[in-house]
Amino acid sequence: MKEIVHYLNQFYGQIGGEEFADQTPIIRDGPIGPGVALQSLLAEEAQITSTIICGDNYFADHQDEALEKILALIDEKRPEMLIAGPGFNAGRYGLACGTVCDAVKSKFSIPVLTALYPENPGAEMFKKTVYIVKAPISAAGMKKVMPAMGKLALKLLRGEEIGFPEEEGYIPQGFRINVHTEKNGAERGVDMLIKKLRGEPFTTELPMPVFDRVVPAPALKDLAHAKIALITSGGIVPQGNPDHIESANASLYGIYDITGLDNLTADKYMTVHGGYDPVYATEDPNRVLPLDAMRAIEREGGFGELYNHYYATVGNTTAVSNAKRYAEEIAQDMLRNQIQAAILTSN
Amino acid sequence: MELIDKTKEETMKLTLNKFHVKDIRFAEQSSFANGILYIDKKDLAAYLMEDSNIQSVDFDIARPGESVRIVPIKDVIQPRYKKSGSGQIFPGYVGDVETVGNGETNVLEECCVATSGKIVAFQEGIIDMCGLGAEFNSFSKMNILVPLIQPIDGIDKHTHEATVRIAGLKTAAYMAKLSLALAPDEVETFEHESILEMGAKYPDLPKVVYVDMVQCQGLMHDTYIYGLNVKGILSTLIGPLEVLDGAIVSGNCAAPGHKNATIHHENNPIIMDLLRRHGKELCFVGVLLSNESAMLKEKMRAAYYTSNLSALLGVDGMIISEEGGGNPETDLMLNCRFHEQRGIKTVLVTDEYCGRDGASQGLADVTPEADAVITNGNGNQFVVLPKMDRVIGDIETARVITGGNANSIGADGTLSVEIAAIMGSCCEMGYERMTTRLR
Amino acid sequence: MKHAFRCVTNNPLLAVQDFPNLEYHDTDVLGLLRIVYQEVIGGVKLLTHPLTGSIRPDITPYKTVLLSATASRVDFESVRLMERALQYTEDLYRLRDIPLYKQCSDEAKADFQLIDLSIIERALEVAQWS
Repeated sequence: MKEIVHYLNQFYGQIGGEEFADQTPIIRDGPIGPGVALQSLLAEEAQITSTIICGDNYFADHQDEALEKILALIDEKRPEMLIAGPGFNAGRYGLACGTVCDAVKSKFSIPVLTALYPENPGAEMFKKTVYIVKAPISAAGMKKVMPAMGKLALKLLRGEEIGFPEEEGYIPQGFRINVHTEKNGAERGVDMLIKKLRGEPFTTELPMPVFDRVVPAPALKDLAHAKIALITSGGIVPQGNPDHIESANASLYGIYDITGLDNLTADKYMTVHGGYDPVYATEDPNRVLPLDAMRAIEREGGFGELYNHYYATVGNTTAVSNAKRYAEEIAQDMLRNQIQAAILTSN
Repeated sequence: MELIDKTKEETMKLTLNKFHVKDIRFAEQSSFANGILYIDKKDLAAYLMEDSNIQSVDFDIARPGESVRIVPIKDVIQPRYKKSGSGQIFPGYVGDVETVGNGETNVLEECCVATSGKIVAFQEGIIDMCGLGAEFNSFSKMNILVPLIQPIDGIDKHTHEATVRIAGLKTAAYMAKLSLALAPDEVETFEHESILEMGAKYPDLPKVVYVDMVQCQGLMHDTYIYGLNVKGILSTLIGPLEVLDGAIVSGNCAAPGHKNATIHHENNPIIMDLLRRHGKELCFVGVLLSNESAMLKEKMRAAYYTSNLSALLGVDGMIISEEGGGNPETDLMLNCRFHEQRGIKTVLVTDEYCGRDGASQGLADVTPEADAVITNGNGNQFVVLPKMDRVIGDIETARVITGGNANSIGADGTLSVEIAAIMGSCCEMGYERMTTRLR
Repeated sequence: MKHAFRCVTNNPLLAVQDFPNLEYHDTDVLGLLRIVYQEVIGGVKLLTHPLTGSIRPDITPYKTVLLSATASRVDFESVRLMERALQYTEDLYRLRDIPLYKQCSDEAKADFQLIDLSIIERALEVAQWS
């Protein structure tokens, strides 16, 4: 009987809801929650001997310590496989599932498996290194995802060859592999053309990358009278992060008053971005949001005026659909406040 | 008064008389009998040496399954010779510039000529007759005659290339000519009406053209139509049956994995498949040649002009194939975009360089309109080819061929290369049976 | 008729041939493409495709690119082509620890130079600029 350790968050680990999200990693014997269903699928071949549970916030806020503790727990158990989740579309949980799987795989060289909704930032980040079964958006799809997880888990445990995503149910890892075909390329091409001409569905063999091209706006005609705003995805917020913008996969943006301020001082401003070394931005937040430089040019009359608020979010594994929505809302707010242009800074 | 001559032939008809070749052997006299092609080296050499640029020529034979590697290879040609009809095979070279594409043409199947010999110091292309490498092209399943051509001293590279190109074509014609008196094993006839005629005949079938993008950028990068270098031509129309009679000849010696060799043109699999479905599933109007220039303005002109011709012909859809990678992807995408903008549906045929692990962007240019693409594989796949008992050509060349490297040849004689080094492995006309799948 | 263009190259054979409007850089193909990219985002237009020929940019050590003689508004098509070409070349350079172009013999180098020259002469010939 092969031994598996299962990783869950506080909710699926049956500790409790969001109020228990600061739970430090603990280990319990046997399968819990989704693990019970998974165990029934693994039948006599493998056994979930223990379950590691960690709160989502704890993992997100103390990733290094959390990971260290989790790896130590796994080191004690020495399982033959680690399974995490399913994490569906939960951002923090998904990232934790991916991070734990990736770390366990590289440290212990054992197979790992999780299941996430394809747009979960954890999926985007770890699909290249970890087999991630394609999960529905929420736990309502638990019954749907479990059989695929069980099947793939057994294949990985047996060391069997893993087929293509369509057959195995995992999220494509992004590797294009040569395969031999029944028909030659020309016949496949004519088949495709006939389908396209008839309006029948067909599948391209080489999808084009996603295009989201932005046509640059025309240049400002009258810079001397323009009102300009500052926008950053570099996570510069007032100390204490009043809107609780997440360090990754931000679910919101903030608007902050800078009336009368000449520059951003370290005692009043900070970065909450989790994707870059914060040392330099912490020392001097103007390095990410250049208020000091803007004020200097404003004084010289280089442009009309600086808008008295700035917009901030965290561009760290943030879903493109969310980022697009923030941009649309910010643009509307800029129009309402008669702003002619903006300077966008990243990190 | 009769305004229309009803007796005028409106349909071109080309019959391919196919002979299956079981073996090639050297003999005292050249002949073809019971599927065995006997070659008198002296006689063939004398024919080729009518070209005063050739100092000497020798021949070798490679057979399917043999432990043989041919390297480097310049061109691969299928032996064909016209038994009847106007003109002769490879017009402009073997034949005069007279029109081809009608009557009967004898074809030697499971057989080809592979020209070898060092033209430049990085000359390219491998054919392995057995082992892993043999899985990546059809040539490994053919009986191959290899002319090894030594030019006279002091010859310039352009002339050297032309000399070897023409010698290959003549060798192929010489071989197929030996079958003239014999009855073929198999016969396939293709018919192709004039455009106005087919429009009246198949009013309800979708009208389709094939856009054959041809390379024409300079030394070792050229293509010839009826012997004419296509450099600087406006896009033009050619009948598909003419192409099957060798009207298009390759002078392209770079990028063996995805260059279109002469055999690919003669057997153009897109043309063959469209001809076979002509009058049934679609109406195959013809072939448009669109050249691949180095200048961006020429690329635009070629793609616009091709789309003008498509619009004049009134076609509904098209297949576009490219030759090579990198800059031709821009021609491919421009052709796609300009046609889609005119409401003409496109399918693109290409291959990819998406890295050792298949994770890179495989094309040098893309366009959102390209929603129907056939890929013939990732040329960057690394393979270790087994040691062969015999090498025809020059194994040292493998060190510098496309997809090879300085350490290509292992101490055990194995050869570590990208499949881009294997002749025709990712043919962008879809000649082979390979694609990529995302995992 | 004389046409104005700039010829940016790392091919020494062009210098030997006294090619017109030559700007020679002692760098590899990727280095040359980066120089061209800087020009293009400065408003210079590409006249030739940055990846001419069928020989991969990680295989040939030489490349020549023709640019417009004057800079004007940024040509976004030139920028887009350069960005694709840079990505394509960077990816191919990463295929091996030592890219193939660094491994070629002097004899092969001479042939690569000749082919690059031939391509650029052909480009001018076809454009009727030669």
